[in-house]
Amino acid sequence: MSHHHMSDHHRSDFGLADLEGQLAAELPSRDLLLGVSLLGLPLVGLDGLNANIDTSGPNWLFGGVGQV
Amino acid sequence: MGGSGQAVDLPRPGRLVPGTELLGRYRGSGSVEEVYLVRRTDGRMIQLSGLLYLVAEALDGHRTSAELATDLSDRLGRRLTPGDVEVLVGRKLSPLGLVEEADGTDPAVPDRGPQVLGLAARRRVVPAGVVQGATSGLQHLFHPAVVVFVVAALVAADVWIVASGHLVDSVAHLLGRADHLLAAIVLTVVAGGFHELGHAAASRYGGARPGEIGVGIYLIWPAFFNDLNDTYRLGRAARIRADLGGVYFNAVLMVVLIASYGATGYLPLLGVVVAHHVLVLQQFLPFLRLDGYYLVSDLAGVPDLFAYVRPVLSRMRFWAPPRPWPQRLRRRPRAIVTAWVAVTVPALVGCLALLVVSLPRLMGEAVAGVELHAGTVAAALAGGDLTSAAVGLVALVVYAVPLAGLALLAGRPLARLWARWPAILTGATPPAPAPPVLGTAYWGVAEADPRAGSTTARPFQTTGRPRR
Repeated sequence: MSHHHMSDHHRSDFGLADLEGQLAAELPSRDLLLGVSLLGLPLVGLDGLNANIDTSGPNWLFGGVGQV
Repeated sequence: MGGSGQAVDLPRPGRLVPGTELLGRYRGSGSVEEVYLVRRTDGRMIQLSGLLYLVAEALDGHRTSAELATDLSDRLGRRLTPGDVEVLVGRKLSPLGLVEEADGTDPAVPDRGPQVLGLAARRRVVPAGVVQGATSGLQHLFHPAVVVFVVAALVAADVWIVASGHLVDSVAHLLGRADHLLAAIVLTVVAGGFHELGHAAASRYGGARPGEIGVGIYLIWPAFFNDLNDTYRLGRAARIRADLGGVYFNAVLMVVLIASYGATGYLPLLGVVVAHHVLVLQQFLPFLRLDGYYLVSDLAGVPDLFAYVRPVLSRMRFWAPPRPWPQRLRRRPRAIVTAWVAVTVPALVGCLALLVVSLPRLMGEAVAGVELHAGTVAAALAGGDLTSAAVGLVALVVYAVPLAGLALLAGRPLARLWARWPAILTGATPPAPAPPVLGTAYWGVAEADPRAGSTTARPFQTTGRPRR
């Protein structure tokens, strides 16, 4: 004679919150970057070729646009 | 007592999508709980708890939920019911695109949306296969003896450059002539591509498969990138080697350029070396997704530092409870992440404020720059001066790309707002999430676990992978 109860099938050691809280997530993509900002640092104004340098590129982000 | 005579169509969870790779433990994780990795067929990495990893391992498309539950319960030493299996598969694994559909087709891969401060206008230039071919030889530059030699040579060369007094002259000389400037620009683009090969070669040396190399717009300026998703499978030290591989290859190139200057006396080469030092130092900024960011991320063992910004900041407010952290971290990683947030948020806020204040002036200068250099290019071409025309063309790109980047930065949120405008106007609610894939009602999940929310329910504790 089986002592097995139907309810045993439904007895879990895990709560529903446990199950739904299990970690399952996509990892962020790893695109290792090189910002080619140097192309923007310093560019000579070609009308003159003397000490008329603009700086741009990432200096924009840091608000460091300056005139040399 | 006989059987019911009815055949019961038992739910049979699908198998993992063919080609999905189970990679084992995520090594060097900063999380308190063990994290496991699965590589989806599109190359993206998925992190799973130990329990979900065991379930993913067990899915073969043949066994029923009951059979899987029995097997997993034996391996875990804790009882898992068929309904539990269906919750785990239907609500956790399937939404990530890991489980085949019932008709055997591949599931739709979920769209994760844009990344915080991520790369825009991403375009492949060198396919992954070519990158892997190129790095088969280049990876040997990461032999420890070679690394020591390169670093020592660069330090010695730097000391010599400073002592020689040519530092300022070399840069001024570079700027003084269009042909020198053009050479510098070409060498900088070469350095950019070589930098990405450095990341790829370092990851290959560590045992990962580097992905494609390409270009894009990062915030408002042009950028090269290398897809290094596969480095998640490496240990912490190998990931850090991959992070530093780019600047190491810049160092290799600088040593070659300095040696070339020694042989030829061509002063602009020194100017390029000086400029490339600035390029390398910029890469260590930790608050944008440059090499420094990934370095901090791997030191802490936390893949997504930006996900911790709001939880860390919420601890400063007294009017509401703090937000939960995405994952419980061990003490040292927690300290690293907190320090990173403390530096990053003020830096980004400050830069954004400066940018907003400077924006009208910068836009005016950009437009003026485009007009100036367009005229310069036209005049140079008319005069047959191809070198000056090429330099002017680069200047045009340098001014035009940030304008395009700003348009993208502003355009994406506007495009999203435009798409949602009808819903905003009508007050329509977003559609309800799709029901779980399997018939979870069958095993009584829909009858709601009577112990849900019960104080007697034990939190799940991963004990690592049980022995088979």
